[in-house]
Amino acid sequence: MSTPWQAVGARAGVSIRRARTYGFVFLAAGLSIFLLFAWGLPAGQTTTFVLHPGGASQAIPIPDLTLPSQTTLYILALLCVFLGGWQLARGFRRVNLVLSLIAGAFVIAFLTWAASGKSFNLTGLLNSALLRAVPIALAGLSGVLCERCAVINIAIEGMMLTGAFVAALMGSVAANVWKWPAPASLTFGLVSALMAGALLGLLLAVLAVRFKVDQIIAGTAINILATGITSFLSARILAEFQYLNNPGIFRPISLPLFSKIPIIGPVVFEQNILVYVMFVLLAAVHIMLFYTRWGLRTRAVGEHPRAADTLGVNVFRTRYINVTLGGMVAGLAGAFLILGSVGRFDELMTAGKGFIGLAAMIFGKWTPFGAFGAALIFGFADALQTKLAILAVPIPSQFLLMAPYLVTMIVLAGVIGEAIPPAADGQPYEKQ
Amino acid sequence: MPLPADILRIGLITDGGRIDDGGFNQQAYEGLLRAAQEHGIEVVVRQPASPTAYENELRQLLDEDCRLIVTVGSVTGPAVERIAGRYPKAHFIVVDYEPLVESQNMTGLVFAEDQAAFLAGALAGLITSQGNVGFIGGKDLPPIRRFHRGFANGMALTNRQAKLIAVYTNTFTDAAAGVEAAGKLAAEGVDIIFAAAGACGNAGLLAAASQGTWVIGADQDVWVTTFQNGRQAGAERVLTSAMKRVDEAVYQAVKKALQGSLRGGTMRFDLANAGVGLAPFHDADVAVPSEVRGKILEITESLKSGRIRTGVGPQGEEIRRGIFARLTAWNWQAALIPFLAIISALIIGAIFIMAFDPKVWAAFGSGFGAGMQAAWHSIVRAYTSLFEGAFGSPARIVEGFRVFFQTGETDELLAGIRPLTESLRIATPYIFAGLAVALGFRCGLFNIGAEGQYFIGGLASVFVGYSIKGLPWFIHLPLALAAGMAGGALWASIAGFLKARTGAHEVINTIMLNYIAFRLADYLLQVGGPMSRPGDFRPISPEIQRSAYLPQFFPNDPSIRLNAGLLLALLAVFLVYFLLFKTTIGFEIRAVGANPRAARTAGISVARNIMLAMALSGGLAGLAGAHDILGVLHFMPNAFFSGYGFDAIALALLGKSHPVGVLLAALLFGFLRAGAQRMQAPPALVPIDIISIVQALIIIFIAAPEIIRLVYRIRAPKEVGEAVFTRGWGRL
Repeated sequence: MSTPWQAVGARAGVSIRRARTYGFVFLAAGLSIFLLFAWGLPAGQTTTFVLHPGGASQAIPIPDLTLPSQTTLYILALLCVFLGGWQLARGFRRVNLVLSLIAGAFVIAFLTWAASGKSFNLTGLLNSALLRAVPIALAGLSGVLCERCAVINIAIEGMMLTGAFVAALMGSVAANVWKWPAPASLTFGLVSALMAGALLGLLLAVLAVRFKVDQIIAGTAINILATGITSFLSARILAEFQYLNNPGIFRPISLPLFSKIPIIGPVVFEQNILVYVMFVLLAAVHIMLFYTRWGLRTRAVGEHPRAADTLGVNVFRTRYINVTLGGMVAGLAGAFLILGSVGRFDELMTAGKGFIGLAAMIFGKWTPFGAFGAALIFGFADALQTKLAILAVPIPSQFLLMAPYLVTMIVLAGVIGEAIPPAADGQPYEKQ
Repeated sequence: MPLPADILRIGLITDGGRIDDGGFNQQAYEGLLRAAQEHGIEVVVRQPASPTAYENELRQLLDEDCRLIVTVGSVTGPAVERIAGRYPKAHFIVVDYEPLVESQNMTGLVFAEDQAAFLAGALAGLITSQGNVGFIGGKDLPPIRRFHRGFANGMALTNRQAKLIAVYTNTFTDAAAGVEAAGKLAAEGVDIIFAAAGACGNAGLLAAASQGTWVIGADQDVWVTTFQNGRQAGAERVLTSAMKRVDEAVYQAVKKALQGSLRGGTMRFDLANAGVGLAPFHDADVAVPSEVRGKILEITESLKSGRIRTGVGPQGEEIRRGIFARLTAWNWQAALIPFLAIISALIIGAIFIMAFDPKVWAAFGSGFGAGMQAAWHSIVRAYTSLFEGAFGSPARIVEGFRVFFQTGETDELLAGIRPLTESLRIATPYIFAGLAVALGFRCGLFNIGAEGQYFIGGLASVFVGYSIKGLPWFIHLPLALAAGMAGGALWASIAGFLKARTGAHEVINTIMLNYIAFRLADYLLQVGGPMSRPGDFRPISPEIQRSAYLPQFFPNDPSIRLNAGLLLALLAVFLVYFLLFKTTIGFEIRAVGANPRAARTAGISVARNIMLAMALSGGLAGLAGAHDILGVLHFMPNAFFSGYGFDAIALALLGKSHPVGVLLAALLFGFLRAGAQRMQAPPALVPIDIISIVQALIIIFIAAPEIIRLVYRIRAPKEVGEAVFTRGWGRL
């Protein structure tokens, strides 16, 4: 009910209403910065943003950023009000850009308020945001791979869970039973997780392509299956034999030179190998999707399978391959939760990250880097919530924990009209 | 594509009419021409002067090297039957004829006239204001009888009072007879006339329409043919036509033949493959209200999927509708697949139980035989526990009855039936939650968020339950139930609103709402939180007032927790059934679910129905929460993963989104869950998550019945349209 009229609406009256709404949103942001944060803040307090992670980081040290809290907030509030007024009076051409500017201003204002009178490690926050964005970005990438050939993969959550379980179990078996050295055992765990993900991807493909099951139902069934199997085996095996749930984790690797760059260095270039793998994957999938024959065929199958079929593209095979690859990437996302993050498996530990990844994919308009960008927002919301708990802000922690989910819903509601999925998304293909 | 090299020319023999007669001959010719032109093949046409010439014409065409011959009309059938056997290298297609003997090289094209006429009849029933409808039939032949009976039954469906007056003219060609019949019907006071009598009937329609009577044509779209695209007087009174798409059928059959895949026998054309159908309303468009369109749309879908039958047999005879007839006509396979799905899932579950039992591993260490024995014992132990946990031990129940009848002592009996009551108790919230998801499915919505709605419903009902004091139970209990329902409805409405307004997919939103609900419950119930129990170190709510308790069935024995919630659940089953299938609201919800575009065209608000269905769905899930609070726990514990959301999906699928099906599925799951709880305890010690595995497998097997058919070698039924459950992202 969204796409056709919006193209028309952009030229007609609808856009005016929308533009006006944006203006009011900007004004409201400025007003709430003033009322919620600046109001009642004792004058003369300062907020310190620490820009060096400290510890063993190799980054060139730079001085901390100390801001007068109230003044900063007033400036930010005025900025928002000014932009809102401008939007109402004249209107911006690139309103989405301004919207992200406002969102950024709001977040900075919030941090300035939350950390007023204290110091707050900004690099640490960004580092943690990236780390939390990785599984979501990988989940989104898995979604991109599947949906570009028109198979909706709602089973990413289950594939991640299975990947995580298998990574934990097989990594532990290699490390603690066969006594393999760390890199080998971790790699074994990783590869096993990839295989497990691929297997579930193949199952989804068989159900969706061969048996033409409603894809969302097939995905849900796989989610339940994955939940059941991992919980069952976790109770039967992992709980019984603790050493089978201790695979260890990939240690961070500092990239020489790059890690010395202030702020960016410790955030991006002092991560474990899986984070670098994610960056490589993003670039690889982007190039493959948009600059290779495989990518063209995939997109053709997603947009108009009949036409692709007529031109000799094997629709079924393309879908089998892509969905299996997508399952692998989802398995990698699960493995990351274990081998790149916490180092042990817990029941239901994915906690909706697969679904958030799907939202990231939609927000990112079905492109790898778009999905990554959206994942950063979710990762940021997630990381913020843990850091704020440390700052002891007067917001109940449960509400902070809601943040990633709320952001997902808002983003989904805001962009869905503009985000256009592949034309054949979710429809089984019947050969004639 | 491979073209049988020996088809160089295709012959067409009419029933004697010309190929521009505006009837079957023309349609057949056009369909044939279309297929032939696509392959660049020549067409030879013969228009025999009399029925005795058919055989001759056939032989001549065969001599002219036509290896594929199409003949029009049932009258040509016997001639073809006599010839076909002698020319095995040629293939014959006969329109409107069902071959009497199975033959390799003769294909009859048969149409479900009854379905088209059924729709026309339903429409007539809805449009007629006098309550009198007329029918003009030509000769008393099977196709005409199918038109007649189908029309009568369709009308009876939508209008029980309406009377059908039938006249047979015994001719297809005599125009005067048609006009006379129409006049006779007009004198009887009919306000709609349906004619299935060829040129004779069409003449009658022309006469009647010019007098202002509504007319419905047969075979072709009479507005186009008889009324010459609306140029004839009275065209604005042409309601519609019950069409046989002879062109389409011939095209498909010839196409198949040219691809080498046409088999001998009968090809049937019905609504589902667009071989028959209603014509557009044309000038009558304004006269057909949107509710009527919606109703016709619904009947069309029901006929396609086989939920409604026309009640007309192949020879046009009435199919009896007694209990016995219904039982034998019942699609037993529809029940067989779920049954086999459950059995298969349990078998695979057994493999899991066996394969991951440490005792079995240990036994295999001491030899293969011992291992197999241990594996067998592992399964038997687990499923015996499952059974006893679900139904109770039969021996104990018998013993209980014996003691009861001898001494009047009930303790033993109650202890015996306790597992059974526990199963029913567990089934109760499943009924609510399953209905919630099923109702969503009916509107094309996939509500995965029953879990979160369950929590919010629970929170709302517990709040009303403990915070309001001093009310009599008959006010307090309904109030607490209503609060639970409202809470769930509100929570689901967020997703419903977002779906309706922005198109954001409900699957993601309801899952996000689940997590938000957990956090919210966590916040409210944490020690010292707004809804926590004062002075308690556990994160739980205060105890609710006695006046908000759902009454227990056995108040003397508190360990039996079965309560009046079960009766409410049964009531909900009935109400949901009634709402969905007997009210306009339910019809609109289902219309949106079946085809939102068509529903919108029919004037049904898609957005409003999505929001309504989502709210109702959430309300039912909220009642599941209210039941557990008011009937079982009497307080709210902190958020935990109950699994209702996912279980409810399995229930709705298993029950085919029908309230009664959901009820049966919920009972099954109640037994499974109760049994699994026993299975978790000694001696079986099987983790309860095995049930999730079994449930997931059930969903897969039900959603992909082909797997079951492959495994158990069941032949596929005549294709039945599957219900649409969900659609892609945000498109309606």
